[in-house]
Amino acid sequence: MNREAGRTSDAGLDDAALVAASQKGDQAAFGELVRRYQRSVHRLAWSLTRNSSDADDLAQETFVRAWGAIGRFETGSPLYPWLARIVTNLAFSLFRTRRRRPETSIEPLVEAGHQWGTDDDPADHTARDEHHAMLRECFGALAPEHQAVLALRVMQDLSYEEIASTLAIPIGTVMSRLSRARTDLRRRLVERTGGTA
Amino acid sequence: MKHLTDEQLSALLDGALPATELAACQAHLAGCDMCRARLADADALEDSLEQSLAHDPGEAYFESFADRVAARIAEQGAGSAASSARPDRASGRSLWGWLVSPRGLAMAGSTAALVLVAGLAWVRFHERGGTVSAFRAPSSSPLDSRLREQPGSAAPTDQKTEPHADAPLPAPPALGASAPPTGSFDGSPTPIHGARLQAPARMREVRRNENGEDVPVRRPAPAAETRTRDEAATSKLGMMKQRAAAPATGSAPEQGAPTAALAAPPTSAKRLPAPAPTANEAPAARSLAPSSTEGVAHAEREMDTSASSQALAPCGSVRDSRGRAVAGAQVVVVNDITRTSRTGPDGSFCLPRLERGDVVSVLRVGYDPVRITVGDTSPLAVVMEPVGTLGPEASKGLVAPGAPSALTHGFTSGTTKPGPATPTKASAPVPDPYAALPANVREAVAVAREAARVARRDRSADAMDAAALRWDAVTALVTGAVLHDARFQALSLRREALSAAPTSERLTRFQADLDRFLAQAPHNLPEYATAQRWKTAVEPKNKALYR
Repeated sequence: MNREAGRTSDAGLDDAALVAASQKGDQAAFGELVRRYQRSVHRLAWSLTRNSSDADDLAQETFVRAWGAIGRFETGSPLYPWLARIVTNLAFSLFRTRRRRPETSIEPLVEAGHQWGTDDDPADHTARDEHHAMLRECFGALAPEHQAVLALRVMQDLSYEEIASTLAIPIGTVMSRLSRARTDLRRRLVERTGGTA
Repeated sequence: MKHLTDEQLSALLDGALPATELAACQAHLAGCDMCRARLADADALEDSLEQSLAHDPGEAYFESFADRVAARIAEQGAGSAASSARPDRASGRSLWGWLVSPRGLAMAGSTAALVLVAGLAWVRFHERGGTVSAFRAPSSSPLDSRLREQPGSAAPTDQKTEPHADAPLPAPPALGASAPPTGSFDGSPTPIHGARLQAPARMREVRRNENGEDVPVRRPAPAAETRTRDEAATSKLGMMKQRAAAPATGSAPEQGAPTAALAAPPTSAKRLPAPAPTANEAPAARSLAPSSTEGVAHAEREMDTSASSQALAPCGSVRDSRGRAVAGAQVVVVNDITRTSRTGPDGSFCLPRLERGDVVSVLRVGYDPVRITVGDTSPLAVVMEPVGTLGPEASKGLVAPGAPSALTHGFTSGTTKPGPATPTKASAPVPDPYAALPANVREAVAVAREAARVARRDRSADAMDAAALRWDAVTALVTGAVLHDARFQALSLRREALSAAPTSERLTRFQADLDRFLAQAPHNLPEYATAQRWKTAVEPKNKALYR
């Protein structure tokens, strides 16, 4: 996978060596794995929670769980799908908790942070920010399993095989779930805007 | 061929359509305006979604992230990797603590419900003299017949398999009631059993009807599920069966393949229909594109109609300042999220609708954004200024120039209509200026491009700095025109790093590189004009951000 290749080229050890060392209790090796995957894990966590507090909590907890279970990780397997599976499971768990306790809003916090790479017309910013806020809300209204497949595909650029491995579902289900998720997202957008597209 | 299904469009977007379907779908796309518009629309939505869900907490956040994880591990007492198989058990949580936890209560409730239903069933079984038919709804039951008439309550086998086929959670390796509260799958936390535990309980619920008979209560499927199933009409079923027989393989087609079909002429002024086409529309679809020539003639007729009704042709083209087509640019009507499109490999696009006075925003990574107000002339010819577009990301969007008329006038819907899409022609890449150089240079360029790709994907300012250094290494190996290109690549990355995480060090380095580039690069380079613009823009930014 190019992603790992890109990362490992910058560090001395590859993932397998770091995992093996971590399995022997080498915290420094595990720390290197954390640094290597923190961005991708946080990116996925943020896309699933859409607020910084939950994303931070989810990302940290992911690595805590990974540390606790890395002894059972199969050396040689790609690490990121495994981490992504932990992120999605924790996110699902969070969704369920929020549903049980509706006093805690499940609605994402629309953060007014800057968008990467935009340094142009402020009017563009406004239109884009509104567009993105609406998209985030519609995405947050999707079923959790639909959010997960879309986030893994769109934000993480995982292949169908990797998504299937991450979510422990057949590839055919990945395909159908992605299709439903996209259809549902578009429907919700059209409903929000009152359009007929 | 019928219109593309939602699943086909979705798989096309991901480049995951099986090879057996790909050719047929591309042939259909070449002659079907509606499906091309749907595909472009879906593609644009995907891009927007990626931007919407992207979030960079900044370098400072990640600098201390590993330390915070370490502190959390120490705080929670999670044992070492080798020693703790079950982190929560290792932390010594008591059985009582688990029982009063939400998960424990939920599991206890589910178990109690199961026991209760089983007890009721046992009593009922004996009351009825041991006939198991007590659990079967009588076939003559009015309630059951009503249920059978509902579209959502299909065959029982369908009802049983659907939740499993689309189970919301990864299947846990063990579902026993004695499953630990957390951490039971191979290293992953908390498999969730709720949905599967509740399913049998629901199926055993009974209700007494007006005849005094017990019938099982079938809860209607959730609205979304019902809708989705309704949408998946008979035409879709065939696709799913075919896919089940031959699922997507690793030999997925190239990402460029689906969008190559967008090169077909955008023609119609009609609005994109809301519902996905169904089997009933198949005859109309065939009449849209029986052959390529007929398809063009049909499209021209549509243009005439649109002109007579004062509607603007909602199509146009996007090119860069050198006249090259810009593929993959997002075209959005400001304040109307439903009217978006994306340029095809030939730079052309079609919006669902366009009106005078609309403000159209055109965005593409690596180019300055453009906003134009639609006037009386409908074919929009948009020119974008590249801002560091010679890297691998932007080169995907650049297509070798086509006919001179298309270059100078852009796509004009009424006059210079290109022929149907020919993916091989449309996806011709820009020649790599480094291709003829020695192997060590090409290797260094490949490393730099990969580093830049990863950095841009991860939105990491540090990684962008590192990628800029890779390009600096390339500059030491080359001379002439490619030297300026390599310098510009490094400059672009430093500018992006500055934008992602502004620091005074990054600003200083960027300004130094910028000054050197402006001093040494030929003035007729398009990148020179871009760098000049950056030079003027960085001054006020300096005052605003780094004072």
